[in-house]
Amino acid sequence: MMLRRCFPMTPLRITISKALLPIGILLSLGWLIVGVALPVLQVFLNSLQDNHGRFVGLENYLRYLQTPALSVSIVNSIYVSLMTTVISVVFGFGFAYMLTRSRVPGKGLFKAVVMIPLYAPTLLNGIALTYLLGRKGLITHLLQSHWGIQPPLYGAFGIIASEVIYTFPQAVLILYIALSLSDARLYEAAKSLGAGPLRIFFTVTLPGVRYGLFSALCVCFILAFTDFGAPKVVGGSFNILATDIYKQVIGQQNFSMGAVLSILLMGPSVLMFCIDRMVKRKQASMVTSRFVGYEPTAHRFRDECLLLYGAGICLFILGFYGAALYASLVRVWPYDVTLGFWHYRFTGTGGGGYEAFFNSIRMSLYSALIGTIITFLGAYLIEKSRILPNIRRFSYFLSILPMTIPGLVIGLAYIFFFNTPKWSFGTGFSISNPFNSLYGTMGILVLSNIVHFYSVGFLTATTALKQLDREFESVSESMGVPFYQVLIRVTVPICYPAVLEIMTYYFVSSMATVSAVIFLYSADIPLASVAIANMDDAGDTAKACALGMLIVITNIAARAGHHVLLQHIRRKHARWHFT
Amino acid sequence: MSEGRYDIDFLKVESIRKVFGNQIALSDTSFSARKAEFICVLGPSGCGKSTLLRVIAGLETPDSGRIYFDGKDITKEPVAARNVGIVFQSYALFPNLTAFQNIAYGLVSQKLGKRVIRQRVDDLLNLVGLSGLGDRYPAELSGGQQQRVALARAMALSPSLLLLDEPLSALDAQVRGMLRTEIRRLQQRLQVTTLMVTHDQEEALSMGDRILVMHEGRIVQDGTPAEIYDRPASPFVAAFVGSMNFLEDAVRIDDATYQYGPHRLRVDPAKDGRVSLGCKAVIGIRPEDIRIGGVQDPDINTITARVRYLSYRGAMFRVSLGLWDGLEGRRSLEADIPTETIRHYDVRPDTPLRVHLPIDRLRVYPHAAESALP
Repeated sequence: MMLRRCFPMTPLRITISKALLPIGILLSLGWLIVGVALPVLQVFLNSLQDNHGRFVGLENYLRYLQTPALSVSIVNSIYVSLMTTVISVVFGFGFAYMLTRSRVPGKGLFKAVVMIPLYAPTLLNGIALTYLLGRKGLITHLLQSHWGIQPPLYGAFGIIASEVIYTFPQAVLILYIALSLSDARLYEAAKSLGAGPLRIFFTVTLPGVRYGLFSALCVCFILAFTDFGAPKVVGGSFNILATDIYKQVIGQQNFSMGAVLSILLMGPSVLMFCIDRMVKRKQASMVTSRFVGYEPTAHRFRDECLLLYGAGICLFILGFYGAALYASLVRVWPYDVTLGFWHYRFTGTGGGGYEAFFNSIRMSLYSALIGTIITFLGAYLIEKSRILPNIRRFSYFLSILPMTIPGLVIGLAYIFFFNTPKWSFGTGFSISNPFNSLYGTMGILVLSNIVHFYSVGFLTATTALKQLDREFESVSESMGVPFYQVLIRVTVPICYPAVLEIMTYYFVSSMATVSAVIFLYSADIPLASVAIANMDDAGDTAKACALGMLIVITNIAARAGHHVLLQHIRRKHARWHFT
Repeated sequence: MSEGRYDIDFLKVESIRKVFGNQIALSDTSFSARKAEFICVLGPSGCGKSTLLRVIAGLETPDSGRIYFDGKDITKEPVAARNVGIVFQSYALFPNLTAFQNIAYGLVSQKLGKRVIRQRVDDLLNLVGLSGLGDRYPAELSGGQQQRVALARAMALSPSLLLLDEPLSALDAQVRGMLRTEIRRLQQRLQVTTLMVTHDQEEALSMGDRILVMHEGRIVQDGTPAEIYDRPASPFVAAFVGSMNFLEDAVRIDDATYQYGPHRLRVDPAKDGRVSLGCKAVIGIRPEDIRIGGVQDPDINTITARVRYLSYRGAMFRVSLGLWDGLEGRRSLEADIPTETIRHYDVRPDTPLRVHLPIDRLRVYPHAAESALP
């Protein structure tokens, strides 16, 4: 039986589809250079100039290090970050252990509650803390009258407390994954050799998660070191690098010093990141293909203790944000404790209320939509094409670089890079800036968010793409179907869990972030997170709480929506069978 | 196989060289294939066979050399212009499309009209024996069924060359056997030139019109299955395809006569050319060619060996024979003797046994030839 012959693709079509791939790769590289590399370079250059644009070399750095009043902030930053890291990781490990190594009921609920801090702007953490432990705080009163202690909220203590709450879910996530990947057979072998539970813990469990532990330590440290929101509220006179940058730039208009501090802020991030990468390379070989997951056995005493522990932490988290919610509903704390929604009307805050809130939602939606497309395409072009390997490698590097760039630095970098009508290079040589018009618009806000949160989305997409059959593109080509067809018809649909995850991540992060946008927003586009900071500055703490709670509720709703959508799609396409 | 129109070269590969970094994947590889010929590319992992397939497909560009399809130089053409059908080891079926949609995938962009496409896909499903299963997703099909969908998909655009990269290695033995015959039958029915890469010598011997044996980036032998098996060009090919005993350090002492330890062996004079008088050689004989009794001329090439142990294999025994204790230690021979013969001669372990090495079954290789003895 002879099949009628079909003809391959016309030469024109082949040329077009062949050209699209390198064009795509170069465009992707281009946007990364403009969005990531050049602005950071600009900050670095600015740190070597004085405020009039003259090149002064390392003079700014020296001046900083020689002024104890300034350089103490590095030490302070390191101190609070170390404390936060230790507390978060130790307690987080216990929580992750409870989730993976016990038969505690209701783990789904515990997991959901422990993630709540991820949905809140860190400013809210600081504000909630002031409601609990401030001068007129809920708990302060109790502590003072019963035990006579006055917690030193404003300063290191407040910062550490806020950061622990902020970094706790991240530590739990990393350790949860690490503990889940432990091979059951190691435990069986240890038990059959007569090792008791304590010995097993120290010789099998801990070594098995050492990479996860290390990763959690790095991540928590970087997050605490670079966070801006909470320290702004509860920092008091305890100077850290992050708030110093804000003070120098906004308060003193000292951009070069701001640049210097930004570079210093990036230091530990870059270092930790490099070490983390080296460690991760060793970790890749740990999970073998014959891996068997660990199923915990029931053990009443241990399970009850862990249940109390987990419940305690969850109640604490609920109580914490519950206090913020309470504070937003109380008429005038602490004098008139009737509950109502007055503060939710945001009267007297100009554009700070619902206009800011809806601007934030708009910005987050744009960031989610555009960000996901750019991220997924970027990951696809790097992962699935065979041409231009060196350019792709460089693009990969630029794609994971944003992980080390704190939001404040992005904000400052974008001011330098996009705000000036001309780019000068310190020697009188300058070219006009084609991107100047972007400054002050929604565009630059969306761009800063996409860059700020790019790496996580990129790695999520890359991981998902790596799991696909390598030969989809080859098969498609051999049938005369160009790569963008297989991308749309096959690759993206199969990767729907990753696509949804990236979208939600962008949305939630954009809603809650303050560190980049606080430098970039304009009076025309007020944003919720910035409005919270301003309200807190002005003493409208209750309104700040209300707006903060609105953000939290929106984010929780987004996450819930994501979950529902994911389950729906999963059920609809169950016959695909691979998720 | 008919002659006439089918004896012209359809595929011609000339001096292909491909290097990855400092690793030579293909060095000066050449061969040609006639229309409707089924060629198996056989070799151990890392020998370059998959690279050769990918170069012919157009998925890799060679560093030098040329490829001709039906007389036309297509070396620089991208894969989309070459009209080849490819089946990969993992099948690469699109998991979110049904079997029907997978097969129709290449047809959709040809603007053929829905009815034509439906007819075509149904014909293909019928051809591979999967009628009625078109609405199933790959995850709902067995390994063998997925393989056939991949094949149907590759054939959908009536390619002039079909390339199969270890298509059966992911399947279990029983399904593999069945699919071997099916693929071969399909190929003969459609008369499409086919190149199949495999590391399974049994597969190559049973399916190929011709076999290309590859080793370290080179084609070391190009011939029919019988030629490859009976007249392996080097010790490597001899050991890779089937098993082979190697009698090393035999010395040529006369025309077609060799001294192997205390034994004198005669070989087929036609095979003696490459070794000079007084030089060392390696003599090869397959285990199944070694005879016990029933020999016409019992004085030539008959050796008294000692039976070391017997290994029962069902239809035959693998007999390990000790020849003598030489300078380099024990010399031994493995023989495959039918169970019936073992019973008839009452062969037991640790007893002497006279075995015969038939002249026409001995292969002679110069000592330094193809140094990669496995």
